[in-house]
Amino acid sequence: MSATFAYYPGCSLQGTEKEYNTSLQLVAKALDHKLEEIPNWLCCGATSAHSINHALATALAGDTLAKAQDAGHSKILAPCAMCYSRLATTLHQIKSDPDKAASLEKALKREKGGLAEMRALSMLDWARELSDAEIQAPIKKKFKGLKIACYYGCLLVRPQKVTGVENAEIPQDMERVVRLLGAEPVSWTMATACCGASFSLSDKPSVFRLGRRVIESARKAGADAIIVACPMCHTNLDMRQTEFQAADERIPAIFITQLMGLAYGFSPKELGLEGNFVNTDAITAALAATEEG
Amino acid sequence: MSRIGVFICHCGENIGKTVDCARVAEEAKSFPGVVFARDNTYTCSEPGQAIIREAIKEHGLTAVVIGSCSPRMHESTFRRTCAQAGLNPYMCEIANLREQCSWVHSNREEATAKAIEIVRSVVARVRNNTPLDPIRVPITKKVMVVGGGIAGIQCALDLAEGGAEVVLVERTSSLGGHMSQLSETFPTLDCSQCILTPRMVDAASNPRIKLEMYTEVEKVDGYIGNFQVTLHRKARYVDWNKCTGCGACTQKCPQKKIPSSFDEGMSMRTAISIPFPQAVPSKPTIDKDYCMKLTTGKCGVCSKICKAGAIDYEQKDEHFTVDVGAIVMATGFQVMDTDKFPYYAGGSHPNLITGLQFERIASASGPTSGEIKRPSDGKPVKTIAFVQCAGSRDKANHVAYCSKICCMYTAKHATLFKHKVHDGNAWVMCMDVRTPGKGYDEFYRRTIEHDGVHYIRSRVSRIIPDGDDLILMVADTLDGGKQLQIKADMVVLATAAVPQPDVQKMAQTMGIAYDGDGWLTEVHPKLRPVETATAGIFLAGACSGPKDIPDTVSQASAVAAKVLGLFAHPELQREPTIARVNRCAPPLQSSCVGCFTCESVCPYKAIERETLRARDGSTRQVAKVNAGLCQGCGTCVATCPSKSIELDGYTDKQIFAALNGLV
Amino acid sequence: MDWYKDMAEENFQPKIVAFVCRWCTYTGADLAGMSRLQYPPNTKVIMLPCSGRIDINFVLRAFMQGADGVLVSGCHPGDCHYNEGNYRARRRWTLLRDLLDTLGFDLRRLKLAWISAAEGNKWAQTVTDFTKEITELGPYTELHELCDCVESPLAPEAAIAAKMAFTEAKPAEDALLKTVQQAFSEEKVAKVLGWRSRPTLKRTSPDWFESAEELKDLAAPPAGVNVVRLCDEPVLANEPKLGVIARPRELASLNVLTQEHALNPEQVTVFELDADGKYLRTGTLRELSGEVAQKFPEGQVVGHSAETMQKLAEFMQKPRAERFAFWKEVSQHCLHCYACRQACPICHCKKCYVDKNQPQWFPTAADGMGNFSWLIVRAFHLAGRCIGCGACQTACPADIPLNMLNATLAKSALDNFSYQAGVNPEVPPLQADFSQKDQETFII
Repeated sequence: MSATFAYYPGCSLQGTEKEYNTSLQLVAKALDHKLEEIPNWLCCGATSAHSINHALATALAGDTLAKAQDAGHSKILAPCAMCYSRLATTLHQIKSDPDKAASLEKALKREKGGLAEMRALSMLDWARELSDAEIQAPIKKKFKGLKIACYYGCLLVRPQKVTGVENAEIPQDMERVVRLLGAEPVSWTMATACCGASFSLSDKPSVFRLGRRVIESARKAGADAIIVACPMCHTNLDMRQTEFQAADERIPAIFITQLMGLAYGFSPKELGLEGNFVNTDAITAALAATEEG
Repeated sequence: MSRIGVFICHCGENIGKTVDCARVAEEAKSFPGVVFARDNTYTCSEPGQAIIREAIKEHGLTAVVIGSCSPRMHESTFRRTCAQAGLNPYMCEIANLREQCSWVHSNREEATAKAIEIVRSVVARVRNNTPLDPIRVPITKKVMVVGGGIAGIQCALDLAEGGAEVVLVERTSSLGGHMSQLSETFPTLDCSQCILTPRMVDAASNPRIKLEMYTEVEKVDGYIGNFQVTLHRKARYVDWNKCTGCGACTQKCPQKKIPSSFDEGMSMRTAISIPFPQAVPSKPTIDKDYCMKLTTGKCGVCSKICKAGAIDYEQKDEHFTVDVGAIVMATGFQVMDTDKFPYYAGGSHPNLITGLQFERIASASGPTSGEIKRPSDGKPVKTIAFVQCAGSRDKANHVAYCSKICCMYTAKHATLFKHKVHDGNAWVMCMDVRTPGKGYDEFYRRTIEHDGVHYIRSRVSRIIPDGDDLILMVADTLDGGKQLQIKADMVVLATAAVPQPDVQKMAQTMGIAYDGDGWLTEVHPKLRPVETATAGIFLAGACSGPKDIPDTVSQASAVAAKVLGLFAHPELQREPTIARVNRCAPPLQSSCVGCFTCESVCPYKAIERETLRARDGSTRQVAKVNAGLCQGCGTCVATCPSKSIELDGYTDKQIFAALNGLV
Repeated sequence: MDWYKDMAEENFQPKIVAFVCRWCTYTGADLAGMSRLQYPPNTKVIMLPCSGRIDINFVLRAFMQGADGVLVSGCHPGDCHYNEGNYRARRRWTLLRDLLDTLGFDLRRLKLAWISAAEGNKWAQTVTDFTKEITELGPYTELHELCDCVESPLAPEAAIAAKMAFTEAKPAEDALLKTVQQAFSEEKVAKVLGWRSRPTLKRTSPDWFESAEELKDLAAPPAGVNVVRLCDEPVLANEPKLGVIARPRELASLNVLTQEHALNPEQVTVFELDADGKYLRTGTLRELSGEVAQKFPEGQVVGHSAETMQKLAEFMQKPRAERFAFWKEVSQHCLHCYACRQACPICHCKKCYVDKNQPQWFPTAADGMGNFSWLIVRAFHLAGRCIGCGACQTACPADIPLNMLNATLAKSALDNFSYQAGVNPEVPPLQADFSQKDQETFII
């Protein structure tokens, strides 16, 4: 079913993780989803702003919500887990704390109540809005024998009161998509563990330790690849993997949209798989092995 | 024409002080239908009742109104009085002049005016009363106990002791349930088999108890005293009447690699098997999914070996009906499987086991003969970790409730481990330790102080496999969330106790309630803990929530007392204030159009369908109330679009009249 | 009937009737007595076994008969002696309150409470507060004055003239005609419900066609009406080989009738038309009953048009007294002809309960009270059942805007219970169902 979303790419999707953006745009097109970028969107403030100034952090996200609403939208798709978390947290505060909502509205110079009607969608929320048939409709080739570890990380699912994800420690949304694409999700330990996130620059040893934990766990569970829905996770599990894993112990980590895109018939090049540091041939090979349809 | 008598009680000074009773009686004389009215100091006293009886006879009263205390107090008293004088008891109504008038008002004038209005309303109501007869229902003095675990066994034995005929239904091929899988029992460390097996044998040999093994309940019809239960006996492919239980067939069966459910998948059994050596009855069944003869047609070894000629590959499933007067649900519980915990080693590591699996490992009759060896390589376990509240008290991911039994069984497991592996290390990761119960906390303290088990108040975020070992990532919640890593040879998850997955479907067919988690619910958690909302169906043991053995056995005995109490009556007498779908005759007709909205509304499944035949021979279906099931709530009456149902005792006519009397 | 005038005098003592359940609130009221709590004597109690037994008729009748306030109380959710009665009652009151609100009824005079057997205090407090509130509001003269309206002036002439305008019948589409003919010849149907053109009357009307020959009179469906009218039909649940020519509105009606066991969906052949009457396909009712909601314009609550919804929203902006005055005025034109009932596709009772007189809850005369109560009772009776075809309003010779009342309840059902009539024949009817999560902000 065709649908229109306000689109909030955030900084990562314009820089380090461009291929997340390109692959999402292609998949959205295949699904007949219109993504309308929010005009003049601001930085979400990510995790750093709110640790320094709560009011500012709320106002940054609030401004984005307001701009999307003014553009006539009620749903914002935020593919980056951090952007999503900031929007969702702000919405949660607006809904649960009238004082905060009032001071935010004052800061934004808006009438009372309007923003609470907005909804922020993570990639999981977005997948949840799609029926099985809708996800499968654009499939050109299915995967066969491909084992996938679905990696959620932190902010996509937590805190539960903000994200509303039913089983925050055992989410199954990506697993469902993976199954529909013909691949096989593995049951593994580290699906919601920490990847090190923004320590990627400031504390590499920690990132190596945490990232290694995730990769090793996926490997032990028999996964051929990891899929993610967060640019930070991707940085840490792909680029950093080349630094902490020996060459023969690496497995590729790609975006869920790239996996979908492959099944929908887009080429690895179109989907930006070439930008991956770890070789993704294992994934594309599993696709080539199947018949049309 | 109504001839109504009105009796206004002073209740000493309780009513008389605030309400001018004489004036109320005087006013009442002018109400339509009233032929006699008087006041009296104590109407409930014997002389007071005698006045009513005499007035009924003297004035030929057809209905009586008593202005007195609340009907909750003396309605039954006065109805009995009327019955003694030959008046139908349901022609007597109470006007509440004490609790809802004299006691709550102080202005005599106002209170008297209100009392007059109340009496006028009740008089108007009683003019529309009709005589009702109590509903008599015969009782089939036989009871069905569903589930052959300790709850079912105890209940059946107590019932049989009390003289009742019992049908004990069990879906596996042996009695025993979860208790038969346990190694020792807390807090006394009795061997579970040793105390349970004699009970199993008693139940099987009791002449009043009929076992229906390998059988499931398919459907329940009827109502208290008169249930018809349809049972489904699965084909065993062994004629148990001929079988001597020698076990030769189980030795020779070539299909030997089937995970044993009794040993929680940790040992193998044959396709024809007896679940465990002490099984009662000790007769084998053939698993049709694995038997080569039944799947491929080639084999037949057991048939050749059986000297008694008991093997029958042609046996079919049977469906049959049993009439019983009461049903006891003793269907028990299950424990969550480890695969519900992907963050614990993917949920599938061989050395990550449930508490129930540990019971089998620790049991002398288990796969390791009681030695604590781990499943992956059989290595004796030196370091063991127990994770409590796996799934329990975890609203975000699993269930919100406390599973109640885990704290004690984990303490028991750790103790057993330390008794068997003296140089071993046992770690218990716990949230809180809850040990209320006789001798329970003492046992837990002994576990720590005497047996040297390490308890850490903590949460386990993840368990990471390291070859055959497991590393627990632990946050110590007493030490500011300090992170610990504990490496263990084997990890035991105290997984949450959960309802049997199919019990809700059964509950729906019976019309009994279950809560959001799926546990069967009692009528009242404190005062009626073993009864369900459907009269005649009772709950024993863990089917209504996690319970330890003492609680389960107490409930089982409590249910037996309830059922024997029910059976002590020659027949059931029930209040006739129940719903009734209108009919006029002849030929039998009704204004009911058969929309059956009432059917969806009724919480008791009391609405049945009846076919009416019109003069032209055409037929149609209309609703009919099953008098045995209806409890008289009247929700159907208010919902019926064509107003074709009435609630006797609270008919529209009565309410209309009462309302007319008030305003 | 001038009792209400006396009450308007000084020292006004309000009349309050309380309908309470036996197990919780009545016992709670007894407890108030045992604790000797004092409260005003204006409230008189009528005891029922359960709040589920409390019919809306009790409440309406109490008001119509002179009560200034009505209190309804039962066990707290989860405490019902009969498990679920209060949950169903709660649904009933939600719907009734929304309807009464549209009618400009003074909802402050209807109080709903959960009072348990232990809450003697709450009972005394509730009664005291309520008596005070009603005393301040004064007698419910506004409503009681309805009893004075004994005349029924006719509706404005223009409205009646519009109703009487004749429209020529259009013949049925060829594709449809052929399909129905074929169904007759293949003996798939024995009788078909469709539109018959009546040239002499210059009208079309719903009728049964019992042979292929009769089909020469088959007409295209006119707007604003519904072919399904079962109240005068024999019971059809067992009848084999029925056929119905159905647009989305009729399909939705048939779904409600299936839900209420008035039809057997396996035995009804539907000749499906689109909303404009163009032939689409043929199948059994069971096959075609799905996805009915999608057959109406997007955003519409089944048949309730966006226009009606908009009108309702605007109407609700008016002050309460104005709303009441509006309905009082339009209801005066009601002739009690029951054309609305006759035209309704959902009414399938063979004897309507308003025609029952043991007891006669409301007067059937075309006077103020009779008309106003008919407005309420008719609309409420269809709560969660009306699919919004508007046939009742089309049929009304007095041009009473019945659609607005129907839409009120449809909106209430959707907003409060996410329920739309006629879209799913498999679920229990709205009022036969409940959810523990149903809202209850209006219950104290």
